[in-house]
Amino acid sequence: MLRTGRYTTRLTSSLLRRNLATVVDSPPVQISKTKAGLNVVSVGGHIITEIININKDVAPASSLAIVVKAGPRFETSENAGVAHYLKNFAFKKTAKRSELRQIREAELCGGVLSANLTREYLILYAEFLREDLPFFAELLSDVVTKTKFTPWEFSEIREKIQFEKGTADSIPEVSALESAHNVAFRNGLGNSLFANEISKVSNVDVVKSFADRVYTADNVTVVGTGVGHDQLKSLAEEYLHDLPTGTAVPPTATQYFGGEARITSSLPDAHFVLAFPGASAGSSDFASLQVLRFLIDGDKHTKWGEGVSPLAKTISKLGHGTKVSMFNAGYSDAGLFGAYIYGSPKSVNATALAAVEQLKIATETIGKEDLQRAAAKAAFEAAASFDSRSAKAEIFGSQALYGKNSSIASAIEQIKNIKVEDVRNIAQKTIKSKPTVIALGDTQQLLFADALSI
Amino acid sequence: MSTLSLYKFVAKRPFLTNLLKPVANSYANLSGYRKLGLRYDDIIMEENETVQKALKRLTVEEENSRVMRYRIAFQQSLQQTILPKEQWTKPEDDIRYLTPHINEVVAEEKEREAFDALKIIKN
Repeated sequence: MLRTGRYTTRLTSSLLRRNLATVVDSPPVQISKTKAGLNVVSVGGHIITEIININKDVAPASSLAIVVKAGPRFETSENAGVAHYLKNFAFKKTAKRSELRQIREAELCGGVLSANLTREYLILYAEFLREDLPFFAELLSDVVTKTKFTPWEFSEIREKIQFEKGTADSIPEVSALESAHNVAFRNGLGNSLFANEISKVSNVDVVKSFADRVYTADNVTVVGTGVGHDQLKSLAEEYLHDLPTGTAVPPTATQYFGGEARITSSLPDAHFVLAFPGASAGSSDFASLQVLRFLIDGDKHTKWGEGVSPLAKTISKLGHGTKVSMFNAGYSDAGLFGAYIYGSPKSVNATALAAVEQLKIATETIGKEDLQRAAAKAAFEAAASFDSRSAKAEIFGSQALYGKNSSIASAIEQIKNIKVEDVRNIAQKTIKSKPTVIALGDTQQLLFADALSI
Repeated sequence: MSTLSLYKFVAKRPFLTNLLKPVANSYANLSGYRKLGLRYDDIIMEENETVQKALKRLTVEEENSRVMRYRIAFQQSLQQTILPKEQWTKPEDDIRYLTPHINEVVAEEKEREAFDALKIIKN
């Protein structure tokens, strides 16, 4: 929920894919460019081409994603909310197919279609049996190149968007993290995932001009998992050849501001976000922060246990219902690191103070065993984050868009190489920066930022 | 919604089109709706789901001017009179603004019916 507004269900990973994973440790990634200048990425493709001749039953489930740099961070104040509209225009009427036809045909193939919006990317995604790749490649490409953007669909979508915004507002976790990003980054990464009531997106032309700007060859990457690379490339050549070669949308460089927001609400629980500037995904600082995150870690990992970290022990004394989870969100050029706490106002205050205390301790002394434990958890987290097909699409698609290429193995290697000094340095840097504090709930009882003794 | 029509047959042949166009125009003029300031698409029967759905797809401007034309026509009807000749709908203004939407909705309905009656044959 931290970075994405997802409303779609996904298939669970198939057992067959696990067999494949024993053949090689990490699925090798192949990247190439089409004539139109479009990146095509395939994950595990070479294995498919080798094995398929021997045994057609290996990993028959595949996925295809078109990852577009079209998240809310590319919005301006004139078209705030337009990314949310563009997401909802996915799989609407195209020049070739009606909405109904797209969905019914995908269903007949047993495929699943979804459109996901993150702060940076719009991801058009399909999962299907490998033999249906040509159909889904055509379908997803048509969404990018041939969507009609009719005015009457716009009014239908506006109603749907108002509903989605209402649903999001009723989830305090989403509200708190949305305002944390807004306070921390103001614009760009601080833009909301959801179009709000004062959005200036008043007609379909605004959406269409945004689509024309973001659907360009430099801005789009095609990612396939479990499909042959050559086949994927030739399909991308065929269906996306007329994608305009306009320049990539330059994102405004992210600046961290920090600050405080207090949202009064009659909810029984209080929600509290304490965040600091993080680091961009894949950087060495990001890996250090990831270790710091699991070093402080307030989560209990056994059901009736007390938890191993001092923070978890503090919380278990505060009684039931208090929960703290450390987060470390990495974006292309910035990040947000911090703690999300909820529970009764009093216990939330105590937990916030305890979390700050743990962060201070980390600036001075870090036990060797504690570091090992944290690094192991961080490495597991890194490995697990590559686990699903949809996560692979997002990770490798975004890497290709920014010209990076790092595998699971290198991500884990990076974490294993982290030393006590790295974590201590990053903790010192973190605590010196201006915090972002969001208090949601009974604001009369919740602590102010300056009372956190940072 | 479709009725038996030779329109496509005639429209393909310039000779027939030129021959019949004046006849069609005078028929439209005789039918009287233009004398009330209406357009042909204003007098399509709208009391069915298909046309209702098509009406929802009009732009705000189209919908407003449709309502305005109805009000003028209704006033003329109440007063048992017709508009002065210079205010009659000109043939070139008699645009089919609703028919394309109706055709689209009909096509969608047909498509849905076809999918609902679909039979999957496995080879």
